[in-house]
Amino acid sequence: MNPIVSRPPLVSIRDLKIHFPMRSRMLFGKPEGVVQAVDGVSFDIRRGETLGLVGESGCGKTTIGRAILQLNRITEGSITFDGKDLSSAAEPDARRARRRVQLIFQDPYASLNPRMSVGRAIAEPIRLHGLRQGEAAIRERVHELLVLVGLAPSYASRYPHEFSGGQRQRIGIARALACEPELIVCDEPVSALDVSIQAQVVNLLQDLQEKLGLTYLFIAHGLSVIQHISDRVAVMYLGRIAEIGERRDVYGNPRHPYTRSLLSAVPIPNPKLERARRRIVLNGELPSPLNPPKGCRFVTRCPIALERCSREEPPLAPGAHGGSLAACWRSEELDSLLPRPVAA
Amino acid sequence: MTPILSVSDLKVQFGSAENGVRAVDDVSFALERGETLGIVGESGSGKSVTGLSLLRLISKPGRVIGGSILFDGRDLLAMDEKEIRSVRGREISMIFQDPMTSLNPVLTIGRQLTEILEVQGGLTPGQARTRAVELLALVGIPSPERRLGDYPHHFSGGMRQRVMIAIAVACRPKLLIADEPTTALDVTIQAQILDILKSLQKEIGMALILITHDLGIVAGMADRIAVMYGGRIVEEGPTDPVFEDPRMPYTVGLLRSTPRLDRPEERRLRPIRGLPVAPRGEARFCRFAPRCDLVEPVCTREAPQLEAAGAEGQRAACHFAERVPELLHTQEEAAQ
Ligand SMILES: Nc1ncnc2c1ncn2[C@@H]1O[C@H](COP(=O)(O)OP(=O)(O)OP(=O)(O)O)[C@@H](O)[C@H]1O
Ligand SMILES: Nc1ncnc2c1ncn2[C@@H]1O[C@H](COP(=O)(O)OP(=O)(O)OP(=O)(O)O)[C@@H](O)[C@H]1O
Ligand SMILES: [Mg+2]
Ligand SMILES: [Mg+2]
Repeated sequence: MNPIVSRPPLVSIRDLKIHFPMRSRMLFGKPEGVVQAVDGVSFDIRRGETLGLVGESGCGKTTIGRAILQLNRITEGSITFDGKDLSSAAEPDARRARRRVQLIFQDPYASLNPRMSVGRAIAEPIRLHGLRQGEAAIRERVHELLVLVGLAPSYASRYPHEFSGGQRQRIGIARALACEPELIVCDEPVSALDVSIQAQVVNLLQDLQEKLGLTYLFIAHGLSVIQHISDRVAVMYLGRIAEIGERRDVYGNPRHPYTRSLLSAVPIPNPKLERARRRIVLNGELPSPLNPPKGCRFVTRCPIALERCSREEPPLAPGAHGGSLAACWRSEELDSLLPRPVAA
Repeated sequence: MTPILSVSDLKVQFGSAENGVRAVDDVSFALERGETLGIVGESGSGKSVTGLSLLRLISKPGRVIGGSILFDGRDLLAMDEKEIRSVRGREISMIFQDPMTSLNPVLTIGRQLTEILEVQGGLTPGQARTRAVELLALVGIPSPERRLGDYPHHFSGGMRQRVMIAIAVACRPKLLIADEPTTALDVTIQAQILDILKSLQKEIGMALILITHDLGIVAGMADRIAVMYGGRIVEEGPTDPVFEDPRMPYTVGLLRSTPRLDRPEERRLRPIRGLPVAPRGEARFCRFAPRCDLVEPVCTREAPQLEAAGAEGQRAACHFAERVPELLHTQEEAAQ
C-alpha cells in the first residue's frame, strides 16, 4: 500500500464554509448579500503529497488556501492541522501551526519589502520564530536557503528590484522555507512566469519536496501544470468541489462534466491532435457567487443537465468502479454523453 | 497572388543605437490573404512591438529604424499620418494586450461601436445601430440590443473581450492583429473566444496575426508560426513541421519546458537554463547562445541568419539548423 495513504492526513477540511457579507456603499449599510466564496468543502491533504486545486477564477481556491493559513475567518465547518482544530486551538498552538504552514504566491514582489535586502527578508522569519540563535548562525542559514533555491549566497546583499520574476519567486520560496514549514500553500506560483522559467521553478518545487518531505497545496488555473505536479487533484466550481481524486483518475477518466469541459478546453501544443479534438463548449459564463444556482451549481452551464439537476444537489460520491469522487447525478453514464479527454 | 502583408528587415529601437533596446531586429515575414500567423515567444521577445509597428503605433522613445512593411501593395512606413489613420481600424485592426486601455470607460458599448461604423465605415446612424447589434450577436453577446446602452464596467472580462473583438472587426478589416486576446481569461472562456475569432475570420476572410506565449493556442489556430527570441524571428514556417521537427534549439527548449496534457507520463520538465536578456545594439552573435545546449564557438562570433531548414517553407536562425535533430539525439543518448 502507498505509504502516503496509510498515515493520518496533515490537513482535514470538513464542511468548510467561508462567506463574505457584501455591504452597501453607505456607512453602516445593511449587508446586501453574501458571497458564498467557499460553501461546503471537505477534503484531506496527506503528508508528503501535492494536492492540486484547480478551477476558474473566483471559484474559491485562494479563500481555502488563506483559511488554512488562518488568514480568513471560518464561517462554518472546521480545518484540522496535524490533529488540532485550528478554529478552537489555543493561541500558542495556533501560532505554532502558523509557522508550519507557509504561502508562496503569484507575485512575490508584492510580499517583499523593496527597501529590505534579500538576506534580511529571509532572516526575518528565522529571527521571529527563534529558529537559529546568534547572527553567525542566522547568516549561515540564509546562505544555505539561497543555495537550496538555486541562488548565489552573494545575492543576500541585493534588493528585490534587481531580480527577474523567476528569481523573485525563488526568493519567495527561500523565505517560506526559512520557517521550516511542513505544508506550503502555493497559490499560482508560476502563473506569471514565462514557460522556460516556469519549468525551472516547477522543477525546483519538486526537488525541494523530495529533499525536505514537504506537503503542497498547489493552486492554479493551468490544468497542464496541475497535472504535472500533483499526486491528487481537486476541481472546484463556484465554492464547491466538483471532483477530487488521484491525478490519473481525474485526468484520465474524469467523472464530472465540468472536469471534462475544462480538460477539453486546454490547448495542447500538438497541431494534429488539436485539429482532431472535440471541445465541450460550455454555455454562458460563471454565475455570481452572491446568488449561486439551486441544485447542482454547475447546472446553468452544464451541457447534459437534467431537470433533476436544478432541484437536487448531487453529493460528492465514488463511482461503481472506483475512480475519483464526483458531484454529478450523471457521472456513471458520462462516457456515453461526453468525449473523454485526450490524456486518457 | 501577392501576400496581403510583407514585412522585410524591420528594426525597432528604444533609446539610443548603442545602448537602447533593439526590440525588433531584422524581422521579415509574409502573410497570405485569410491566413493565420501565430507569433510566439517569451516576455520581452518583441511580439507586441512587432504588432504595434504594423499599425505605426510605436511611440517615443521607440522608433522604426529600418525595413519596410508592404500591406496590400502599399508601403505603410512611407504613408503620411492621414493615410495611415485611414488604414487603422478599417483595413488593419488590432486587439490590444491590455483590454482596459482599449475600451473607453465613459462611453457606452453601443456608442463605441456605432462611432467606428459611422466614422470609419461611412454608415448612417441607423445603419450603424443595426450593424452594431449584428456584431454583438456575432461575438456571442446575449440580448445584444439591450446591451448597447451598457458601459464597459458592466461586462465581465470575457464579455469585454468579445466587445473588443466586435469593435476590431466592425469594418471587416483585411488583417486583424490579436495580441494575447485570451491571456487574462479562464480556459473555458478562452475556448469560446478562440472559436469566435476562427469563425469571424472565415466569414470576413481576414488574415490574422495571433500573438501569444501559449504554444497550445497557436497549434490549434495558426497556419504558420513565427518564434521570436530577443527581437528576432528565430524560427518560422508551417505549423506542423515547426512543432514536429523544430530546427532552432530555442523552439525545442520552449516545447520541452511546456507541461502538456498529452504527455501525462512525463514527470520532469526540461527548462531552458538561464534568463532571457534584453537585446542591445547590433546582433553580432546568436542571442540564444548563452542559454543553448548545443552552443559552439561560432555561435558567439556570428549571428545566424533565418534560412531554409527542415520542411518546405520552414526557416531557422541557427548555425546548425540542418543538424539540430541529430545533435539533440546524440546529446540525449549521452545523458542516459
Ligand atoms: N475578503 C473578501 N471579501 C469579499 N469577497 C471576497 C473576499 N475574498 C474573496 N472574495 C470573493 O470570494 C470569491 C472567491 O474568491 P477567491 O479569491 O478565493 O477565488 P480564486 O478561486 O482564488 O480565484 P482566482 O483564480 O481569480 O485567484 C470571489 O467571488 C471573490 O470575489
Ligand atoms: N515603451 C517602451 N519603452 C522602452 N522599451 C520598451 C517599450 N516597449 C517595449 N519595450 C522593450 O521592447 C522589448 C520587446 O517588448 P514587447 O512588448 O514587444 O515584448 P513582448 O514579446 O510583447 O512581451 P510580453 O509577452 O511580455 O507581452 C522589451 O525588451 C521591452 O522592454
Ligand atoms: Mg486566487
Ligand atoms: Mg506583449
